Amino acid sequence: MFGYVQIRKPELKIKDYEVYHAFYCGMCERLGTRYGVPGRITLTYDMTFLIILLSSVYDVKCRHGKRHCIVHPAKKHNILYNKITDYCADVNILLSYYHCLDDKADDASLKGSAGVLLYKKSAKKAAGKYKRQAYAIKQSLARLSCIERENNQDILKAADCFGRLLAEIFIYKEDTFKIYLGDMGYYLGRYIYIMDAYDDLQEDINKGRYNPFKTVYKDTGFKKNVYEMLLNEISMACGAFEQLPCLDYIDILRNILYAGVWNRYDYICAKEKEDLK
Amino acid sequence: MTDPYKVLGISPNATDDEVKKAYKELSRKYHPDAYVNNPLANLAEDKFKEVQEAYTQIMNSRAGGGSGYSQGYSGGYGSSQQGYSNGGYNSGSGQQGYNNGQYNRQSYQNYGTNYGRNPNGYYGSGGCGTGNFCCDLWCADTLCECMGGDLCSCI
Repeated sequence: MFGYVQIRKPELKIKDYEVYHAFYCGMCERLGTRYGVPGRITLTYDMTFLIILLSSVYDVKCRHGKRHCIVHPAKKHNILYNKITDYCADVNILLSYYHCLDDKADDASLKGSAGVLLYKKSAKKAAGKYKRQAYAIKQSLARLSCIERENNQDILKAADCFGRLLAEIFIYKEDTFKIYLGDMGYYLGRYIYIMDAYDDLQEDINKGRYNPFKTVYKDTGFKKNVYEMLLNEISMACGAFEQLPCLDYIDILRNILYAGVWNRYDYICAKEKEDLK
Repeated sequence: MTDPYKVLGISPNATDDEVKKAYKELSRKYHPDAYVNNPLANLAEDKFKEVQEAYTQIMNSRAGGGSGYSQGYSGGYGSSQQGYSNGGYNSGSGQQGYNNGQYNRQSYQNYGTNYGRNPNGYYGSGGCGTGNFCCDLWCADTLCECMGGDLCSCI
């Protein structure tokens, strides 16, 4: 994913930040234990959010520990992890593998080929364990790649693919909550895709890459339309979220969903304002 | 069908948070993991399912009735456009909301103020006004006239 689902740090209580950070370090630790350094590279804020969300929904008990890490060797860090962390680590490897496979097929890039070699074995193992999720990732990325090749400028069609991918990942197991988790993942996925397209617009134009906003970005009201779209998607995602029985970590989750997801957007807008001065 | 509020042991006037708390307590009590190798495992599993169903029933009914999964991803892979009624790029401001609009953009924005975001987002921020341009103009013209001037002679 793209790292848009993050906390708004100044608004988060210190005790909550420490819990969030412990989950983040826990994810890094489990990725390292299960998949070594290549696994650690795939660490994202988005997956940390999913760990906290699913831990809250399913009331999963966490194991606590203290570890040194490569990035901060001097001080031991608190880590929190549970079976959801392992699930997210496996899904993260699957995502990285299929993403690299896609890159390799699209432009035979060195990064893509290296990634395929690095993650192939681990991804095969994870795919055996999580067949539904692996199939959804494969299918959705293939559809996205097809949309990009066709240079299809329908943003919703492209965003829909990513939404479906995330929905299947959010559905941890087939039970009564899959309806809410599926909805939430679907709309959050669409939000992330639209945000990413908006964020990368200038760079994609400069480099001549695909971007679904390419034909409309000069229209009057373009920015307002993008804002409205983002607001629609995230409101729907939060509508589903508020139906879930989340009590633990609720302040962290709401901080992310109601403020943190807008970090990048607010940064882009602030930068635009500054450039105009 | 049994009353879902009775299953959770709460009053129908309970807040959403109280419903969630009651659900959590009972789901912990009857969770199948707590009854491994226990002769009561089957009974606990049935009770656990009943509690889960009661919870979703309450949440769905509070969110506007019917299945809370009516317009979203639940459409499945069959129809790619399902779930997005009118909030597309060209329509600008969509009117959709979760579960028949009970939880919508307004709720989201109101809630967001507690978490450090401007309720009107980036484009609604800055300045003061009534939200209606004509009304703003009339106010400005009236104030101007009070000071002896005239902003707009036709009002």
